[in-house]
Amino acid sequence: MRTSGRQRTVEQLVEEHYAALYRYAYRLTGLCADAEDLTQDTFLKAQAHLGQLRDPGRAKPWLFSILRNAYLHRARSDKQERRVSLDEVGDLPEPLPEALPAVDPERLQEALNELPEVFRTPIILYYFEDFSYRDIADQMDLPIGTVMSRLARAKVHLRGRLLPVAPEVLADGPRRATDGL
Amino acid sequence: MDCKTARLLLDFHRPRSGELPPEEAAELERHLGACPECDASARAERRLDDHFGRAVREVPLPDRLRERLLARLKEQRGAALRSKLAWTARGVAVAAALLLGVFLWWHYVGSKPPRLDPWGLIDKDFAKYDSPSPEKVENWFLTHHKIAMVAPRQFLYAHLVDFDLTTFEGKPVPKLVFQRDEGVFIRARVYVLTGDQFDLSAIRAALTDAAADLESVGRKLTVEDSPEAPNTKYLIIYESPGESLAPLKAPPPPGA
Repeated sequence: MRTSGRQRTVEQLVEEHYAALYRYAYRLTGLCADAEDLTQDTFLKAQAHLGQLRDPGRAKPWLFSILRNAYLHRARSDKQERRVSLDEVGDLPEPLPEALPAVDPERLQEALNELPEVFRTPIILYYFEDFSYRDIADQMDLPIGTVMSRLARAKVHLRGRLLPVAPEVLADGPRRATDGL
Repeated sequence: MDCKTARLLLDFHRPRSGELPPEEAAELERHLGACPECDASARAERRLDDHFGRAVREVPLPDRLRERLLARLKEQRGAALRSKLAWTARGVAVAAALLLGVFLWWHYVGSKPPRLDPWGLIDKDFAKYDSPSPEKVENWFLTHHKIAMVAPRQFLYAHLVDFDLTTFEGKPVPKLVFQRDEGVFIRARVYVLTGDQFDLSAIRAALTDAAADLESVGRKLTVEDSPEAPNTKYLIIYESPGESLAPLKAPPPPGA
């Protein structure tokens, strides 16, 4: 049976982006089932509104944006969220140890889950590498400066939760993220 | 480039995002080559980003996820198609019902002749024939046919029984019928002809033969001038045992 151009395009989108979308959804939710549901919802919405994708080259940010909106829609009813406050963070625990310890997947996800969404989304997109600051700012509808500020604070949070503090840092006191600037 | 600028630009100097213009990237690299402190900071930052980045991206995919996604999309397309077909079927059903309704209305109501309203006819008849006069006849032709005509004043309009427009040689010609039936029957049909429509200069000669033929069937034909309109003549065909139109006409004024 012949398939229409729209069907082929949606299937192409699945082939090209389903893995990245699932990983993004998993890092946002921390749960496999929720991540799969979100990925599914994203492609269903994409199929229904494929006409809105004017530039096929922008398919990836478009799909990520759909997924984030779907996630935020679900998260609004989530009253169980426990998030840390990043108001006081801003210290970089330098220097780094010679050998970085392997990141425990569970601790990584816990550390991400502790972040409020407005910090979690930029740090995940940042580590997905293909996303520039401009892309992240567009996704979140924020100025680039705000994105960079949130990234810096989210990074400090992750380092604090995932890296051991070096003895010399404990002795000298932590450095500010802006030291030397 | 100083250290402060270099630290600021380091954030934009990631291997794959390419956010720094080539010139600035090259200048930054030169600074890092010359400044051990910034270079160490940049290396540490990149090392940590690579370390965390790998960990963040390392999410195992569930088995057959791709197949489940594609199957669900196919299912949605099927549902959408079924929904579209259902709506189309509903639309066709509504259109058919409307057509049937229109047909039934036309069959039972629209095709029947309208209900007779005698008052409409009576009013129309009354307006046309009540209290006839030359002026009223002229006004009727002007109103109903946009024809300015001069009605013959020599006739008694109490005997006017009908008037309307007829066609003569393809041209509209006003016709008035006067009739009297008091002991003897007299009827005259008066055709109002104008020089704008016909060449009236030789009308009498032209009608001589016709007048003879009419006499053989008991009718007469005559032509009269209009005192009020020199360009108008009245062609009169009449039936009168006394061969006179006088009973239908007003008496001439004394001394005329």
